[in-house]
Amino acid sequence: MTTWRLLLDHGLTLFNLVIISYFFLGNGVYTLLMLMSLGATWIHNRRLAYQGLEEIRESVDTPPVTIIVPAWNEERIIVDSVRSALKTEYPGLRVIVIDDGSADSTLQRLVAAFGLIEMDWVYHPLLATLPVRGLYMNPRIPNLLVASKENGGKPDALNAGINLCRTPYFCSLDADCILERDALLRLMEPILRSSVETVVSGGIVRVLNGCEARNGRVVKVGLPRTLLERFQVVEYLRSFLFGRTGWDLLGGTLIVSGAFAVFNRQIVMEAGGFRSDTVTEDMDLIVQLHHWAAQNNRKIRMSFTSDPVCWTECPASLSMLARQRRRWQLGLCQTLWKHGEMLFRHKYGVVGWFSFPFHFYVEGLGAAVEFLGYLLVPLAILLGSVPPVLIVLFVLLGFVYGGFLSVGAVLLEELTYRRYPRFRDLVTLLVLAMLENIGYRQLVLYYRFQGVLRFLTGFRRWEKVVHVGSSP
Amino acid sequence: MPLHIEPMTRLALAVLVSVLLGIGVLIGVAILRRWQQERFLERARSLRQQCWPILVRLLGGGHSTEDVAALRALPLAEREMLCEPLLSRGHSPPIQLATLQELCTELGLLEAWQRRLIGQSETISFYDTLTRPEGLLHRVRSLNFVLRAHSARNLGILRHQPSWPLLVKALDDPHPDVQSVALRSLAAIREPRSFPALVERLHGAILGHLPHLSPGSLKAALGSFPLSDAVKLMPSLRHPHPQIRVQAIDILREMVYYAAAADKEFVLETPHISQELTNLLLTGLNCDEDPEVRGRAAEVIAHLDSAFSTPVLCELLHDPKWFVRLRTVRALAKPRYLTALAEIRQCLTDPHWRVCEAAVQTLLALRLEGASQLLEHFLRTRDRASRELIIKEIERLGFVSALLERYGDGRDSLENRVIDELVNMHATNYLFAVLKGNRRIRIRGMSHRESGLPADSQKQARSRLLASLEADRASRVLARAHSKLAA
Repeated sequence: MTTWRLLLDHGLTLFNLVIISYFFLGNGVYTLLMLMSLGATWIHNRRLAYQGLEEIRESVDTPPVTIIVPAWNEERIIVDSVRSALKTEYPGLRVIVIDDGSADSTLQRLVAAFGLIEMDWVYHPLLATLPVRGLYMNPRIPNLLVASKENGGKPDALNAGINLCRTPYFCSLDADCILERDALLRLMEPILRSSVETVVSGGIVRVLNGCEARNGRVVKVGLPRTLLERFQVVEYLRSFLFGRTGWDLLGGTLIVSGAFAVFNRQIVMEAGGFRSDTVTEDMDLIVQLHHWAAQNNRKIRMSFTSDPVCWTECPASLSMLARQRRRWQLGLCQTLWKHGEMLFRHKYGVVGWFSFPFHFYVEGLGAAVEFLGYLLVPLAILLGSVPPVLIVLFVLLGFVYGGFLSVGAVLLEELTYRRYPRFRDLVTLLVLAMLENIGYRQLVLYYRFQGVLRFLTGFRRWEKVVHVGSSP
Repeated sequence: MPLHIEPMTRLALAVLVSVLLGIGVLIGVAILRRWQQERFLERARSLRQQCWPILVRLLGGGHSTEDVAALRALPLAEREMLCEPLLSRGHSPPIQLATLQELCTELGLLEAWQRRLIGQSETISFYDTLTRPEGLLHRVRSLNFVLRAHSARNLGILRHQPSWPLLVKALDDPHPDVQSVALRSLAAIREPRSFPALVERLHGAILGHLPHLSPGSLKAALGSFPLSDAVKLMPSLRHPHPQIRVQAIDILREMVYYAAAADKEFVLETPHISQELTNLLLTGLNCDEDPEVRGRAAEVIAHLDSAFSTPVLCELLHDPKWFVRLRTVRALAKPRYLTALAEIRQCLTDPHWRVCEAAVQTLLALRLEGASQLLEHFLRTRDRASRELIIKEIERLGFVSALLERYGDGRDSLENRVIDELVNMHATNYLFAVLKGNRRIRIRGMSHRESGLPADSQKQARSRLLASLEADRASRVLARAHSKLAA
């Protein structure tokens, strides 16, 4: 009995050490990212005044871009989304919509709204995809092409779009997103002006809930009504404004939101296109591109810029939030596991030594460690392994540190883009940033832990998040 | 494995207190910043209300010393704040630009921007550093580049000709932002005397002497100069370094592109281009050892007003490099090259599919003569890929509708044969949609003749066609169902 007790004590102490190291490592890196992003985003914001988007818009050298919109059962919003995409300011813009075997009237609505005719074209896939049933266009809207294919999931639809795309760059855009008018010009700016070959350029995704959208454009920005959606506003700010900016500054970008990002078509094809073996095909492609660059000895850059804005609806109900977060965590675990050989490998540079291990340890395993911490720490108190004061202090510190990082993200927004114009909104965001760590964080952690469990049990199905809020 | 409880408790407590203090500071800064911004916007609003009528009067041409004096009495930062929206509107029309330039000169803004560009930033008080949005940029030397770049941008927007030497000097600024903005401003000003300096830098950038300026940006800047400056590219076009020749011919190509975009009847002739340059294009660059040069030269040669341009381009259609043939066949999409129809048609059987595709597009752009050649080829060829390409293009451009309008006289006309062939190939989706929906799709960039056929005979022929299309679709649906069942 004493031996068992001793073993348990040691086990708990070891676990506590893991939690403490996780806490300091995770928060230490987040703080570093926040401080770096504060400076970089502030300067970037000032540099926007002389960015020279007009030159990009008017230059004969600006390469054309195709927006690829994969759509599956999106009859409610597809027409407005495509209208919004067609209105995007960019020279030589093309839009390809891939109807991924929708069971609803997504295709019929597109055909009716844009006067599309089925063409007698032959589809020649360079990347393997499920068969395309038909290609539709209207000669009067020469920059819009709709393809209807058998249902094969988002990566398959994106690959079909890449096969049909004829431009050197393509932009993946989720069907439920609204692009700001100049978002694509801004997204292409780092590609066109960088001295290093920029193969991916990602922009910021902001929460559409609570905003007023008219004719495919956001006309009034505001905070959503429910607490659940408001917490997600803070979360998105934290994730994009300092998380992604920070990793971009370090040259360790591992995640670019596939909801809105520009890719170099040729290089994506050489890297094998989007894969279906993970549920987060965007992250998987980014990691795959790092592989490709290391294998081919190519110096490439993956850029994140915080001024090109794409508005998207966030889940408005707990069940949809659960689906989304479970999928994200599952996809993260699948991708990290699949590319595990990158861990601490010299040839991957910052990604191999810093970014990948951080995502593996803190973002991937962290969900399980933190969740188990909530269960095992009370046990440690009961068994008397750790004094309750220390536990309470650490729990408190966890809440407060999370609040510190979220308040930092709100400050970053305030110092730069200030999209929420009312003073009341700022105060609300600051309060939410503090409260987010009590309740909401634990809820999300629970969903993330479910994602880890699904990974461990081999679950791999895509769970669709259905939005019921404002449409574009 | 005991935990060191006491030091850990102390550490946790210390971190907790520091983090709480940190949160307090961050919240304080956020609220202070909002308050400062609100104040700034309020000031901007009141300033605009107060001074806008004066500004409108001055911009309207009503020059008055009192008005200028009233505006000059404002601090420099407020004068800038007032004029900023006028500069942010992008490219203003020339008359307004001259007035705006005059206004900025009288308000002392041009002088301030010129001083800032050369690094002579005005000193500001500590209070202003904290309260003005750009205060820190003035105070912190390493952030000063934002002000220099902003000044370079303003001088460019105003097309301030006398500032070109300063902007050329700014190309050697230590910060790449200032260099690239100065470059864009020089491109906007288009001062002929700055052209050689830019060419010199282009050479430096290509040869690796200037790491910050990219050849692409320099090329874009030089390409925006008028064609009258093209003759200064002669040394670069003859340079032994192939990359310099490529960039130089690309600059010339861009100059020609912009000139042609502004004037639909544009032809490259003597006032625009020297005889020496014409000769170089027709006898030197067309057979340059670098295929990139040859391809770009083809696009320029296509605009030349010379009897030699057609034979030179026809020769380039046989270039060993596919992208040279591609550029050439695209360049031939002008009505004046109708004489080269036979050569263009030969490209329909080119080994590279992109050249074939470009040939289809060029023939369709060459009005009915080109289209007829294309359709004849479509009927004769047995090459499946070539046929697929033609179907794709004629459907994409809505040309099938034009064929249908002339369909149905019962004779062996080209239109009838093409439609019948489409039916034979089961390429009937588009035909069916047009006939069934009675759609009338205008062809882009092509006027087609009235059919002149008796309405009844046409109606009957179309009904017959529709019936055969329906039968074809029914058989295809059946075949698809069979294959599904088999699968």
